[in-house]
Amino acid sequence: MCTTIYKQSYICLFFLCEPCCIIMFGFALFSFSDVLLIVMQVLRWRSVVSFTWSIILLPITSVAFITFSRIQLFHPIDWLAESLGDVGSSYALFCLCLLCVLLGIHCTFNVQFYTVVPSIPCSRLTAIGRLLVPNRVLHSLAHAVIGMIVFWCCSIIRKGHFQPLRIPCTSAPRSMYIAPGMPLVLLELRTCWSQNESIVHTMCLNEHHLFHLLAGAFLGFSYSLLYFVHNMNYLPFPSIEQFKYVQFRRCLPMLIRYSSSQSFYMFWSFTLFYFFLGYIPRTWMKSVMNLQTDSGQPPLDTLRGLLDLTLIYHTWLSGTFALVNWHLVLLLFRIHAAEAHVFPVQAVFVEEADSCLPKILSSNVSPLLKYLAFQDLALLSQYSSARRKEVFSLSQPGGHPYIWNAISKECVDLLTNLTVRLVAHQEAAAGNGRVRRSSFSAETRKLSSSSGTSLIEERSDQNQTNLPPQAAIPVALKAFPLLKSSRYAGIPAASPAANRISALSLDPNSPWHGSVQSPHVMRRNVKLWSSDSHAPLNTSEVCAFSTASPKPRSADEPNPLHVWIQQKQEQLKNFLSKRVLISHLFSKRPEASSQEIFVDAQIHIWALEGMSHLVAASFTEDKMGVVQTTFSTIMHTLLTLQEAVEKHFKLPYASSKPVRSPESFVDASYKALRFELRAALKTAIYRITTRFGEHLHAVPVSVEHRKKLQQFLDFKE
Amino acid sequence: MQLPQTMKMSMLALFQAPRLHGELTLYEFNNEMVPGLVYESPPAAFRDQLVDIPDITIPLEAVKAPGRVELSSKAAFIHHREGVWKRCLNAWHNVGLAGLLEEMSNSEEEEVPAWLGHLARSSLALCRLASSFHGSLFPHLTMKSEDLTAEFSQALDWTGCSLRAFAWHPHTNKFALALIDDSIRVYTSGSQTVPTLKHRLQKDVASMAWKPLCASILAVACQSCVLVWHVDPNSLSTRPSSGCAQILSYPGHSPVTSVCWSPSAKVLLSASPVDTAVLVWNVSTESCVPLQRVGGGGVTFLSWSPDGSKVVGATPSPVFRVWETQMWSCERWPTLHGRFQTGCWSPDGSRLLFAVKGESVIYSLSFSSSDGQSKGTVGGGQSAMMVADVSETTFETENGEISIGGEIHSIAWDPSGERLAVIITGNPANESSLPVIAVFRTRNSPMFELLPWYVTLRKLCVQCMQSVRLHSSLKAVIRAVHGKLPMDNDVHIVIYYRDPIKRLGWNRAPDDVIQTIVIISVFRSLTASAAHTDCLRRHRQKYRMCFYIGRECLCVSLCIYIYIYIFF
Repeated sequence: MCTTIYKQSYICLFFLCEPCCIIMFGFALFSFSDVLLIVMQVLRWRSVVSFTWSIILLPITSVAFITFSRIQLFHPIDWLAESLGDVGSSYALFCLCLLCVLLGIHCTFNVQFYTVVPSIPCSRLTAIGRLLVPNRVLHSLAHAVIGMIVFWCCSIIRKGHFQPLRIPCTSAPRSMYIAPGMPLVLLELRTCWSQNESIVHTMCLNEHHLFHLLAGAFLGFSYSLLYFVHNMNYLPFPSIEQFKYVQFRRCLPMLIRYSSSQSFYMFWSFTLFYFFLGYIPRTWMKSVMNLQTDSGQPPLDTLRGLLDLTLIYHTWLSGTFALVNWHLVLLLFRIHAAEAHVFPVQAVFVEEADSCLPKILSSNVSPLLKYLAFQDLALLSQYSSARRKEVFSLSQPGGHPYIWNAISKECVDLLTNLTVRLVAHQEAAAGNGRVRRSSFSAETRKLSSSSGTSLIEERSDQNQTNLPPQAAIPVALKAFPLLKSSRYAGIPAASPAANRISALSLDPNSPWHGSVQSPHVMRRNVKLWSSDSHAPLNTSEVCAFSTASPKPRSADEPNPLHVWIQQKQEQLKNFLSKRVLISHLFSKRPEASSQEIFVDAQIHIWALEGMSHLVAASFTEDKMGVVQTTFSTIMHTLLTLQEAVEKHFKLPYASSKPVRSPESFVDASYKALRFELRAALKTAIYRITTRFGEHLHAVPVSVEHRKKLQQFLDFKE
Repeated sequence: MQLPQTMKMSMLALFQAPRLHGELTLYEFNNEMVPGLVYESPPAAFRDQLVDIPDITIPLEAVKAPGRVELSSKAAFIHHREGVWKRCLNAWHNVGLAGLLEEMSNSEEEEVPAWLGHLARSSLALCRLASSFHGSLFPHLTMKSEDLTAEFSQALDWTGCSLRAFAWHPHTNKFALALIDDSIRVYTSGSQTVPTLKHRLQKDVASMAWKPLCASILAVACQSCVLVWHVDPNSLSTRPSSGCAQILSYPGHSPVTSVCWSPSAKVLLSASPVDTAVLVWNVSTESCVPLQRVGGGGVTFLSWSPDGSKVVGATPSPVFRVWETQMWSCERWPTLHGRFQTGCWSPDGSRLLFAVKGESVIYSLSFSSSDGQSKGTVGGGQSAMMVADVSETTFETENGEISIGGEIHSIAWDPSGERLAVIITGNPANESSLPVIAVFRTRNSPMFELLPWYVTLRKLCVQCMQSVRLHSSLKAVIRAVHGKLPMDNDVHIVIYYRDPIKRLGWNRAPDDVIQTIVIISVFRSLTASAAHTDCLRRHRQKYRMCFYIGRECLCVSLCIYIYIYIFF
């Protein structure tokens, strides 16, 4: 039944918001490949449905607002009757239409700004810098305007009639006040006008209304700031799947509580702001609109004026109304966008081939789509044996396990990528900034790495101009026997740790070493080198963890000018770091770097869950032994990652828990993602070891890993 | 739910007659339950398969209930009369709004203005009225925290026995015991280190659960929170610090009486008899999702089916819910008599056996299996079937008549689906009636069968029971813990085990994992020392605030509103 409701409202609304939708998904219009079409379909459908629901909920919140705004405790019947009468008035209907348009704009902003990867600033300065990105400034300004209009609507709905900024003065001024800077022409005009009118009406500024509108603008602006500071554009995926209605119902009380408290805090800060600076907009308005001060009412930048209970209540209520609506749009968008989507495992027709799971897992079109695909993988591996069977199936002519190969390769690549990042971070932490200090150290690094294979050396020479010098990524990780990803190509050889890892993976005692029987694997090994040498460098992977600005490295011999500049930079840095304010701004939060590495850990968690469930299920369900071809690689990847993660948690700041915030609308669970990843990784390994038990001894792994596996088998880890 | 009224005869009459003399049922061998004296060794066929578990004899002096009744060190200082406002502030800090009102209404003349005192008294009275109304709907809400735990715990004699909870690790030879002094001891086979877990918040432990697919994590249901301990198996430390424990607390969710992990080790569930929501914890991020359902007044007992597809949640009212774990929707089952006392799942998660308080009958409820196709359906059958009646029966033995049978307290099903163990409480009115463990032979496919088999009996109380699945390579059989006869006041743990060699010819496991029933019962003398009981009584008198800040605010604002509305 729900879907039919969706459909009907969708049809009605789609014509109305077609242009809006085109703007919304403008980013997706640059190319029309099939995958993009799916993105558009999935995303467009979801945001339109969420928008529709927020429009449906708008009248309800408006009725609640009207009811609360004309509260009459001792005459409840009058109260309800009056407020119900007001709902149907033409003013209210006009305002509702206006609010719908505003919500549409708000929703567009949500769709534009959502992200599945939260941004974690390293220092306060970065946090401020991120707010000053042009499109974010635009967001803030637009919200200030939207907030003002919403408050204007609120004042209309509440009073039931249009409330102007200029009202006739309550008490006639004793003497005509003439502003010193007022142009003569205006004065004359004004006298003409007042002479034409038989009654002399001096117009005064309605300061309450001005206060109200400015509060709206302030609210909108600060909402937008908090939106980015608290990462509210981050799309959290719930830890358990629930129906949308249930999720919505669960979050609703939290949303209302959060909105009202936020509204109160914002009102409070705005009051302070107005108390000190309120005379500026007032004088400006008066001079522009040529108005008088109403001496009958106290000015609002005094304590007496601000302690007006009606003013406080109405401003707070309007703020709550605005925030509830905005948060509702956000909540509905989050719920709809993070909903699990079922991708077909196998394409029935050739046209569908681009929309099936393995393709989307490896596509990089939209991060959200990739997340949804991994979520679907984790769910199917756990709940649906029919779809698992499809994963383990062979291709019909030829009998190749294409689906399993694609899925496992994507998962393994993803996890190896994380391992590389972790090792690089440990390098940087162990060197304690030594690596990025000067080009000399880079030089020594280069020399020390000469023991690596010549192939690596060559490539590092080729690519070093493209690379930031501080990206100390161990290239030796590439020497993983079965890694065929081209992603880590061209990373300069660097670190002892990485060399150790490579030595570990090429353990001569390993049964894998030298006695590779399967021609399949041999072929793969060859492909590794050949494909790598031609692979283009994917620097985006590298940039993810290099914090300093990337700049090309100069030639091999140290340039004196370069050294001089470096020295000056150091001096300047030292000088600045002694100033309190600047050091406060520049000081790094130690936890941030750790959080930053695990910022997209959600996708790794799903990959771990999906892969471990599939491998465990293969024990009974995999009739063809498809999983066994990649079993060794998977175990190797998991154990290497486990080693890297455990080492990471030995760093001083990594294992400190973030302060647990009480249940609130702002989701801060991304700060603890690294703990979740660590637990998921251990569970994944245990899931495989408990299922396979003694059979694991037959799997070829290196000696170190065999020891590790034995610990897992004995439940000693 | 329809109940067939045909079966009247107690199934216990078909059991082998129980034995009496100082003998414990030690093991199952050659399809026979073998009783014996605790110091006898098992036959040779067994001995080489035994796993070395250290002898566990905990003298009662070591586990006396803690002397601390007061939480603060206030009693050690000379009483100093403070001003009323300071006292109010303190009370507000410590207890909340209720404390503030209490302090105000108890204040002497002219300390607070008369109208304020009057207002405090009247709102307090109104709060009490409201809570007593609420309590009349759900009588358990008026009970104290410790009594709630005692009432809804799966342990038979929670207050009286030194041992309160027991948890066997699902994969390895390791278990945890919660003792009356609020400490937890972790025993591992082949290890002499016995870590003792103590924490400031670890009080009134009602249940414990080891995390599956993990070696070290133990969740403990405490009075005010759920503690998640990380007990490093490689550590030699006997007193892990409080830093090893994560504290998961949620307002209004105390006391916690049941915790259970999902078999895939992803989430932890916790339940409290005063909170209608089941909390789904993501332990590593310490965030939770409440699964709110109206009605029932709370959740007392949770049990996750071994295949991970369903969870049963019992409430203090005559109703229970079965949740499916993909979309977390639920089916609601009213029972005719009394609340859901205990239940257990068949290994494939298709059948739920449960018992209802006040009846000596085992019911069975079957579920259709859904293969991930239809999301959000639980698939329960039309009605529950009565499968066994264990009402009181009298046996003639050489020492005269004894009677066994009565209400069912706890049920455990062997992971292979071949044995079912049931703790039956005796009839308290009848002196010769004793609590027993009855063991049934069962089979689940192609059709469900339940055959009476054996009753084990001793003049001691049965405390906890748990069935586990062990791996044959880990030397599946656990030795009974003995060495000497149990002294009167000591805690002794006797573990029944089953012979993996000679098996019933019913169904064989598909892989080489041999499944073994391990039923654990703990014996303790019924008469505790006088000091001990005295201590308990004092402990119980701690005052418990029945309602907390959220409800209070609502009540107070409601009462103020009504007050104003009537008088103006």
